[in-house]
Amino acid sequence: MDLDDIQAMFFQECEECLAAAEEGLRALEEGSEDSIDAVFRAVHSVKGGAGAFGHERLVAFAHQYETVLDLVRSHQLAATPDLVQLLHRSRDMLDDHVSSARDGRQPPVDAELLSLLSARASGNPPVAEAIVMPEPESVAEATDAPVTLNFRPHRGALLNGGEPLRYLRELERLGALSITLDSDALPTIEALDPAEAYLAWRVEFPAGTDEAALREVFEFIADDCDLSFETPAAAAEVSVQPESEDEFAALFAAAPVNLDALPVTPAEAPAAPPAAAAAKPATDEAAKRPGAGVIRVDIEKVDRLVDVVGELVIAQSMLAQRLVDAGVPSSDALENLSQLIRDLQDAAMSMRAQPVKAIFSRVPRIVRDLEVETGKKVNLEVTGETTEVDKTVIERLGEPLTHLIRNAIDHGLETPDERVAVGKPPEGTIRLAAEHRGGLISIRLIDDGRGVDHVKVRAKAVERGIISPDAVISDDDALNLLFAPGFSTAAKISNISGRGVGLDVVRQNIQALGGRVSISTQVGEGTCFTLTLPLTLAVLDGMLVGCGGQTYVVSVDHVVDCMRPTPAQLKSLGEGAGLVQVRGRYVPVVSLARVFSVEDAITDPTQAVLLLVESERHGTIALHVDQIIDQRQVVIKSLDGNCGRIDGIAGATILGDGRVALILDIDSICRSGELGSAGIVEEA
Amino acid sequence: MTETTGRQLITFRIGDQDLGIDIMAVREIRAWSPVTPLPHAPSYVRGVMNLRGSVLPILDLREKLGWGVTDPGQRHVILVIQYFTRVLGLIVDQVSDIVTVDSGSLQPAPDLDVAAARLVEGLAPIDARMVMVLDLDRLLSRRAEPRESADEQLEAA
Amino acid sequence: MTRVLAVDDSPTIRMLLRSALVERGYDIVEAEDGLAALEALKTGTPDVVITDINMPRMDGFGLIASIREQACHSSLPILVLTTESSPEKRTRAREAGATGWIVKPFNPDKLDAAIRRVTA
Repeated sequence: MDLDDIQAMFFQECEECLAAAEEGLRALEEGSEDSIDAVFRAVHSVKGGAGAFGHERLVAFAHQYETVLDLVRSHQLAATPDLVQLLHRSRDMLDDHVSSARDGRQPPVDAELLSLLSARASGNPPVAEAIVMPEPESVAEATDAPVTLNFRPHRGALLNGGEPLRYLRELERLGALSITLDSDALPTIEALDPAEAYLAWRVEFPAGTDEAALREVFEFIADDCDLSFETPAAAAEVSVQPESEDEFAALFAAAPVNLDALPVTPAEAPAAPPAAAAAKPATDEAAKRPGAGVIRVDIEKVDRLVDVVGELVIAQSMLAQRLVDAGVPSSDALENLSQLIRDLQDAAMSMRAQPVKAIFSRVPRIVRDLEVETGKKVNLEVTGETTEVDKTVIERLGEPLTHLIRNAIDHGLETPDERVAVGKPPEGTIRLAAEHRGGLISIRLIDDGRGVDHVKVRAKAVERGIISPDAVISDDDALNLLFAPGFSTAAKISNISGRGVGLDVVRQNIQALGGRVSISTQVGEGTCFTLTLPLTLAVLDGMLVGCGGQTYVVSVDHVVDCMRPTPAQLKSLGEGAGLVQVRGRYVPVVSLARVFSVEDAITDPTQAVLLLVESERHGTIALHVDQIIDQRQVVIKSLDGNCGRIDGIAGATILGDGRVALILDIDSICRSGELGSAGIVEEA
Repeated sequence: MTETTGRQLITFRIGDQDLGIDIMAVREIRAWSPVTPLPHAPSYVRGVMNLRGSVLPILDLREKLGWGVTDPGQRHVILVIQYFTRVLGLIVDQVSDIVTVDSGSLQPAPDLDVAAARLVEGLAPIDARMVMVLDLDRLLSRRAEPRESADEQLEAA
Repeated sequence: MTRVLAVDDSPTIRMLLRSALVERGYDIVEAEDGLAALEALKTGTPDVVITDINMPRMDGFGLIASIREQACHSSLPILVLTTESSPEKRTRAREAGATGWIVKPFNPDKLDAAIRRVTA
């Protein structure tokens, strides 16, 4: 991994830390005092990593922020609502710092917050520490004379794995010419305290050895030893300078004890208890942390697993096909295999599922920013954060959701004065709720604002040329015009909701995920946007149909019924506008062959199959295909990357025989069946 | 993409014409196999094919160059090329060999108003042949895509 | 090969440590907090432990204390990662039982030197 990869990882970690800090601050507001710890650690982590990559302004801000947080967690500062507000704002500023560092932009202007934070910090005893950038290298001072070092460790230096032998070895590596033992202080064995330090050493180095480098060796025990350097003149006064091996040996012999037998490692010194480590009680946060019992896995590994399992599904269906072709009767074993693979696929997909909290956690920040910009007060309620959704859905949900929230606050909610005037509390409420509903995820954004007036929407649509003035449409359809491209209810394009980024893009984004958006509203009371999304993007329960020798896939979700019509059931409004009478209703017939310009298809509906399919906005149609082939789960392959978006096609899959089958986009096919109806200009 | 010393190309044939593509762009070479047709696509986009789990569009290069239409069969070859993040296949008649051309010896394509001239980056003399070096940028620009996006259609309306 | 047990709740820091150490021929095992580190110690003794202080569940001081309590590990070299090397911090680290310290953001060469110093 190179430094860029690690930095990318770091920014990923920052996301998580910032979210954790947000959560911690909210918990703090609700009275959970211990949460300050989590906030502190989060900011500390951001600071720690940022320093490694040289983001100095970020580090500086984080440091000041961390200082205040430390004071709060050590109870030197009280977490008053005022202070918590400041902490929130600081968290947002840290968020901005991280974003600008990640995007390579100028750091944000943080002078005001910095001074507010430092004011809080300075009202207290100096616990604030100076920031240390990597230490500058010290300049070596060379001398001409040999350098002599005297080292006498104290008792404390022997503790905690401090091992004089190691220091001596390092000195050796640095070029020590000789090491002489001074054992004068060594008592007789009866008086010997194994934990006490009695030995000293004298080490000689060649001329020019850097004294600072030598001192550095003893950095860790600097306070626990005597360390001195000698000039050659002074050296003469110190004895104990053996000049031959014999004398060296004699020194040892003079000692009453065989030095080799002395315990050299403090490990055997029983009386070296670790100092009273101010061990913080290992708070069992496992209960509070849903992350306990979790492992970190690279998302790529999970994706790979999902891909391979997808291939397994295909391979299994190919096998099944071969067996069928070879006339082998189906058996339990095959059924079993099939079921196991389905289970495996579910398990693999569920690994990619993440709680929507991942995106919901950004919402409070967005709301806070909008409160400032619009001057409106907003009460945010969030439920169902633990609802799990496939990671790919989560990634692409952020933008549309953000836009809807901005919309709700900017346009939906009234100003506090307006609200009071109609008897509402001055604070507007936005509710964000996620839940599983029947195999789908439903995310609702509800505001208690002014609601949407379909009359006004209709008028605006006429003004923009989206519908003709005399078009007759239902109230619901009128509301849906909000999603038409080119529509914007804002009198001026507000800075908040963006330039030309309308609800049409939101709808497109959601539809691209295989989901739907709908709106319900009550004038004066509020509006609810509902996003319905599939649980996973990658797999589909499909009905395989044939048309002109090609196989196409229709999502079973959309299929209501299938039939072979009798001639009596077929009616017509004119050329190319066939209808079929089904249970008292007249349903338009849309020929897939015609929509896709497929040749060699069965043209007579009474010899073919009509698939009754329901679409989000275009009601039910009868899709005319040649025959129904099969029903099975298929793995969705996207065409977007290589082919771009194709009308009527939602994706592709690979069949048992290795061939590609296109997956139909029912909505857009239904739309093609409504050419020119009701005066609504066809959406491209 | 251009090196000062020389460029490696894979050369191939369509009819009796020799063409070349930067070797770095070619991912693999496959035999032809039937494709699934794509609706609403230009006629030179013959369909999509499965390449080890990815779905690629397959283009008839002959048609794109304006030299007729290929009736693909077993003897045809698909050049799988990668252009930035997009992968797609080109139907060609046969692949010839790998050659190195001096950047200096590449002559600009003549300024003729035919499709081929527009899609060719330059002409390289190799032995006795004239090899047309394809300009991938122009060959694969999004305008040549099967279908304009909804926005583009709306603007055009 | 010298075995390092690196303990820090920040995956970025662990990755930076790994990146710096593997290059220099060390073998590295990671743990994300004190408890995980103790688990790791059960399966084998490293030559040196490098640990951060601020971690959830069990912080650096708790870890060092636990390590020192085990007789077999009472002289295991332990380096703490600190944000600066003021005398107070040094004393604190020593009192807690650390053998030495490394300042964050760390310089890979100094890291290497510090490890060699305590594991020679």
